[in-house]
Amino acid sequence: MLTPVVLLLVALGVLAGTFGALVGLGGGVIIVPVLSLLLDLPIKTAVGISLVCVIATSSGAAAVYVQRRWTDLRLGMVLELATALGAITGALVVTLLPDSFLKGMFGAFLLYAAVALLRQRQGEMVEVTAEPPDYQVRNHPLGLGVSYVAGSVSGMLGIGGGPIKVPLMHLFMGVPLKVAAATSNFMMGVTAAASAFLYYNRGDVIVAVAAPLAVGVFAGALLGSHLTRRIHSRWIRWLLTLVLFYLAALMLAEAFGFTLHGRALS
Amino acid sequence: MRTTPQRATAWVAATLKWGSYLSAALMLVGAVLLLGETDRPIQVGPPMPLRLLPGELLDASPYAVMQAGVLLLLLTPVVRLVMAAISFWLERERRYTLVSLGVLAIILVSVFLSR
Repeated sequence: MLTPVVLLLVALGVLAGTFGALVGLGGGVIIVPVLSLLLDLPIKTAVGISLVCVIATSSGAAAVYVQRRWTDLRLGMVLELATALGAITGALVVTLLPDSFLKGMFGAFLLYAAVALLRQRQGEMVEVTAEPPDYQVRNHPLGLGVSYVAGSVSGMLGIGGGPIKVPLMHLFMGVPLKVAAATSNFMMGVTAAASAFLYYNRGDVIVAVAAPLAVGVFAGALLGSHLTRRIHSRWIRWLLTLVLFYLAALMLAEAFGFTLHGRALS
Repeated sequence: MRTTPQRATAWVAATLKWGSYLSAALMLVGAVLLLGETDRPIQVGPPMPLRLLPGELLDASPYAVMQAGVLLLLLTPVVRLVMAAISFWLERERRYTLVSLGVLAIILVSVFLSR
């Protein structure tokens, strides 16, 4: 039983990491539902483990983006003041919420992420070679407010929050899209760490699950960044959208007390 | 034009890179060691207390090696904040030194709250 479980976790991490690198989405949004539905882990444990993977996604990719100067370090660190506070709030509030409510919230976020992915124009996230254009950051108060919300959602659901922060920076703060994506990814590490310590000390990070997953995520992120130039991102986008709708349906069904699927590993 | 803080960029990138490599290596070694323990069921309990960690590491316990990797991964963003604070301070960017220290203080509150 042990070997298949460990290999399954590595594979799940590779899948999540590859999607994350190719589409900028797909770490926590895949890991939490799969851990909760397939491995039958309590949702709060799934969230704690996912936060570890979010840090892996962030640190691995951010090292490259920072070096290439796609990350706005100053903006990222200012907004981290809000996301980190939000993350702590989220990780504390989560203890008061029933699991079914969290699953419902997660299902709703999956729907939002799937729709946001459908609306994303093709090729937006892909080429990262040209120099970023000149820009002026505006709307800091709104940015801090929404970042606080993004941090809280991250701390409650174990996700990076890219689908909230990237549109915020791009549409409302005047940041070019690729800089927004790189800066959002950069912020995820500190944000997730702020809540991950709380989950860790509550005993909600199972290392035997988190470590193989995170190894897979690192490998997947590496694989994804090499695939970026070769793969038609439209197909990946469609595939991930379908996966998200499917996971949303399962999470919402569980939230309302239905169990539609067989437990593969319980 | 927004200028790039040179020193902070280099230091932060290096911290993230080495934090990722080292933690990934530890978690990989731990996972491989775990694969060798086919006769025992997988332990899904909470992480072991920190004071037990050094001894278990010396015994090459897969769980201890994986836990050390996870802890190093959790600490990478914290070290990244310290590096950013120092490099902004060396570049005389007082505002961003304070911002870095502010975020660091929030994370330390989280560590403190969780004890």
